[in-house]
Amino acid sequence: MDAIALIAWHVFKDGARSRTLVSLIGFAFALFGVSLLIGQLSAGQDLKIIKDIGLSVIELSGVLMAVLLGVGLVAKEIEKRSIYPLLARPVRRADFIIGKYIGLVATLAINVAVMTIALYLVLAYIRWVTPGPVRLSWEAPALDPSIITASLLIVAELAVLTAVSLFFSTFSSNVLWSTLFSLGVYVAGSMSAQLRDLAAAVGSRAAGVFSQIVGVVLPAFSAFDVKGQVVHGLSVPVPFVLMTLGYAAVYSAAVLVAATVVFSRRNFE
Amino acid sequence: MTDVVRTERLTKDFLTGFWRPRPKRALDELSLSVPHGEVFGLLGPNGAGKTTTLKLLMDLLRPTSGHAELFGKNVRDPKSRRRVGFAPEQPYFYDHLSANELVQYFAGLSGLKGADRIAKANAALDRTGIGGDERRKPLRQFSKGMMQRVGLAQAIVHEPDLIVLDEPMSGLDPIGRRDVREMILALRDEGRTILFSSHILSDAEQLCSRVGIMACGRLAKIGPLAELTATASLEDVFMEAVR
Repeated sequence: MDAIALIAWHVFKDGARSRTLVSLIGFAFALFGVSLLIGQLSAGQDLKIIKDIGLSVIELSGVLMAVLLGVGLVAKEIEKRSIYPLLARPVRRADFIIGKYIGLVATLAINVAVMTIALYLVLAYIRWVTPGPVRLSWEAPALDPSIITASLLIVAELAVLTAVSLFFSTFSSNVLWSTLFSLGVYVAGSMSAQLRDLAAAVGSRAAGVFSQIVGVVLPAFSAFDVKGQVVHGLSVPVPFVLMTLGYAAVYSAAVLVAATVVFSRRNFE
Repeated sequence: MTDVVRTERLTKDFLTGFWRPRPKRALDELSLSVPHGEVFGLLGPNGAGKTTTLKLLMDLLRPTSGHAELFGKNVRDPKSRRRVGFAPEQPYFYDHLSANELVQYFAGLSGLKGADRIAKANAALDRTGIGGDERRKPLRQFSKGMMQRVGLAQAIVHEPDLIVLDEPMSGLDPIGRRDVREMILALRDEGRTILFSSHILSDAEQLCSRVGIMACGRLAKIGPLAELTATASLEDVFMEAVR
């Protein structure tokens, strides 16, 4: 347990000092500024646009961080051989994987929290400069608490994606391939709902079987996307949120078990 | 004396070739034991199987067949490495950490906590000649020789009973080599067991009580240094063994 906590803390420190993280946060804040500008140009729609762009930026920057930092978690240690003295300690390989995972998910969660606070500050500013009668026409309040729900589901989505990136990095020492595989899974997983609809529309048995397999194997990233509801002031039911969080926990645990099995058998030549 | 390191017919094959992978034997039925308190040198030319042996002992490689133990425990058990320090050849560590942070991190992974961790990290850095200002610099500013010293510091920080060093003199200047030699002798005098690999015979002559000479994955010769060099120089013995 001590080893897991130490490894996680080390990943967190590494992430906090990483140039990738700093540049992505900078990029995200620049996009917040752009959303503010676009919002002011589109009369009456500003709040929706800012919420939509804001949440999309939080998700996109989180996805890039989860993949870019996630694939390097193990692959970089193997490539640079810094893993040798580490695994020569009384550290179980499973502890190494779990520690790395917890460290990166904690980094991503804090990053999402900081960006959510920034989004709320932008929305508070819009609320402050908007006259009372205009505010009455808004579908949802500016400081809508359901933004926190959307951010929580983004963290859950990133936890799943981090597990997937970590899994690829346990058997491929090539960071580029791991990055491409992880992004591929993210894109396919984000389209899992459309794939199922397509299979139903085609109506063939083979397409149905294919969509079933895709549905089980690929993470259903589309389930984590509640931006539409939040932007339009529709409620996100609590049972749905709990089920989605449960799905993220089970899927991540399964991928981490697979990553640990692969990593435990690995030779470091 | 108890054996600190013991291997029995330890064998490792690597698969080579992309289309039709074939096994290539890197280590062939190595049976070896190193008792407590010994400085044992594993000598041999490049590709002889020295690093493969050390990696098998650290569980970084899994054997094709055979068995290895540290302190009577199978090397597959992480607990077998509780009293072990390992410094790999030409080590690389995290750029963003300082020497201080890195050595403390490894001390923590070996179970040291709180003030003890900080004190022992400072002691290990003192012992390897990494001064006050240098230990706060990020490792990306370190030369190859300094990195080698950091590698040694992390290996000895938890005061292990067995210290395994892969080519510890590699990348060091003459002063650094002398310092490491003196450190190994001091560790021996403290009663620690040291197993190191090298292809530099003069280092072995100055440090080892016993040596094993490896060639093509096999242990070609083994014995106390004094016995092996009774009638011929170590270089002659080495050349005869590896031919």
